Amino acid sequence: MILNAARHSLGRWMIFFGVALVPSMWLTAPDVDFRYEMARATGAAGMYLVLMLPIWTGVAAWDAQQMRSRIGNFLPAVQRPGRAVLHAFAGAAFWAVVLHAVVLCSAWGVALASGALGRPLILLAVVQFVLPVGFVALGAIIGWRVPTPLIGPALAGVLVLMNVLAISVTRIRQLTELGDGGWDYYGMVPGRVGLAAQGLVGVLLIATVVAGSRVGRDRLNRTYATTGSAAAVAAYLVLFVIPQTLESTDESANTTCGTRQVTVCVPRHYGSNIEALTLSAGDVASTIADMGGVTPERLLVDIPGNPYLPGEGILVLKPADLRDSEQINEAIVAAFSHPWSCDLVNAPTPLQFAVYDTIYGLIHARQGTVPASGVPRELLDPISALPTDDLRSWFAITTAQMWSCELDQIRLPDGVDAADRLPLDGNG
Amino acid sequence: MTTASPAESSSEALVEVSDLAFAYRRGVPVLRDVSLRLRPGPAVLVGLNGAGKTTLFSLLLGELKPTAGSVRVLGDAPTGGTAASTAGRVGYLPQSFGFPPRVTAVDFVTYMGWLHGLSWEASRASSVDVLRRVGLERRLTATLGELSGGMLRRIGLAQSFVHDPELVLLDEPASGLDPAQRIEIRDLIIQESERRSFLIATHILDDIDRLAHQVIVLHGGTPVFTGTPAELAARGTGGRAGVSAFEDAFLEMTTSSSCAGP
Repeated sequence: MILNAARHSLGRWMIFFGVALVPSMWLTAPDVDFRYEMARATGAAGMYLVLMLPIWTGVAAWDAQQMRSRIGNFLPAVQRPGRAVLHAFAGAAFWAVVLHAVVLCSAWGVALASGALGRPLILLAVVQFVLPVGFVALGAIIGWRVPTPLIGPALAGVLVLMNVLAISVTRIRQLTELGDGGWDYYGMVPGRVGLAAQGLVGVLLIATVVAGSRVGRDRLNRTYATTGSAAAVAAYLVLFVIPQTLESTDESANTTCGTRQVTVCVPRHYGSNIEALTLSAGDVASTIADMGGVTPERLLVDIPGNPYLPGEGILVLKPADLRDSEQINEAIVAAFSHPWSCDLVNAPTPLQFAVYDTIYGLIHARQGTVPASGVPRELLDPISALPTDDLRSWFAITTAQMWSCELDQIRLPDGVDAADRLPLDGNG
Repeated sequence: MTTASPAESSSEALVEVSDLAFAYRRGVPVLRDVSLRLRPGPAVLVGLNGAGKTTLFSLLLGELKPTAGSVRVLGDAPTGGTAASTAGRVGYLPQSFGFPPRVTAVDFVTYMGWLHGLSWEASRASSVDVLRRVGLERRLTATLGELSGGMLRRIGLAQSFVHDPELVLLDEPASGLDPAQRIEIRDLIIQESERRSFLIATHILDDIDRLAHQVIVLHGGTPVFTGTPAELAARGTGGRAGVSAFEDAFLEMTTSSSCAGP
């Protein structure tokens, strides 16, 4: 029955569209380092869901409406008309699940292979299969109830518009409240809000359809309406509750940590590298301590979903970095000199950014290593030339301010005038 | 005349209608004072356009609720929660219908059997059998869009008894068919009457004696005759030239306001 339904579903044509999305999602995402591989997988799945769930809802509604328009006159003598809804549901759901599997397994598979995917997120990938099924059920029931071929496109269109609206509203709020940092930090939230809104409206639509239907007349089996409602509710719960639960999960379920002066935490798949990372972090922390500076107590590898606390170090690594001790050292120095966890809420001013890069340059100079990225020589040179006690004092105060997130307290040493040396737009 | 069918041996009334009345919302009554008791076997319901034949079918199928009176089909009321149990024992061919054009004949009939309550596998087996009985065994995998009007009517017939119902309601089964196709359909119904009872709404009077053992003439929403084809023929005056005995009797009844059954 399922294969027969699949054979006649409009959904069979969607497989080409959906598969075509996979390479496009790959090509449009940056391939910079493994945190982006994770973000890419998450984003791909999120975008797929945001765009495709409304379409699948419309496909199921179209299938159901078309079948009802063809066989409607036969229905009075039909014993189980609810099976027609089930048929429309089965056809569209079959293709939705197949395509969802292709897209999700591709996206999440790459993330898993790269080690950027933790256990709870794998769970999330699995439960996401509930979503298309729930929405297809919603579409099949509504399509069966509403006797116009416009119902499929209309349903899909309305849900897409809801997504766009929800995403727009959310992003406006992010930009208003969080500044530019909100774009990246809350990258998945718009999708979730959009999907959650869909789920909620789906529940309301189902309730309306069930409450307002003349069930007794055409004997549409309440079981199917109930099943559809349950599926929509399940989708809503999956959208809202499970992601929230996962996000609140202690990162210890997701990461493995090692400690040598400071604690370093990495995804479990990078556990074999923890010793090298911890060793390097300990060395750099010792160097900073020798300079009189302060370090964060913990470095976390930057993966989406890690609940960074303000004042914790964020370690940005490329997969290739893990094979090279110099690259590991470079990443650790960068993490100890840039308090991104404090900047997530307020973007750094040009002065603060210049100071971070100066700290980065000073640590490299003390180590005798070469910075991978540029340092502001206009600041580094005069600061390096300060008397030892003055330099030590400024370094200690500044690193303490950095890691206590008192960023607006950061100042240049006495005698070093930023306005003379850097184009700081008056922020110095 | 057809031979006695197995269904005729049953003493249970196929259809019992008592003091039935029906009116659409704010409309004039479509049916009134309808009382019928149909025995198992083939029966024909004839009447002018607008006589209430299709409305009576809708009431028998439970699609409409009577304004007054009662309806029992195969012992059950087709409304009020027992519709499903009745529906599984009833087949139906509507007067007008559509088909999904890209679905094959066997898939469509299987699908309809499944909606009638059969399992998919049982419906598939039954579909092949009924399509063979209606002469479409060579067109099982043809899509419905490829079939002629006569073949589609046969598909319609096949779906009406794919679930092996006790009673099949056929609403104008020969509507829109040419004479050859009409004869095909008539012969199919006669052949299938060996297995089940039929109630056939029709305008065509020529075939009544071949199709049915019982005839109901509906006029103005009320039965004006219930009896056998022979009894109907006997009601004609013979005063109309160029018409058959059935047509003469029918015209006599439907142009006169004072007719009664035997």
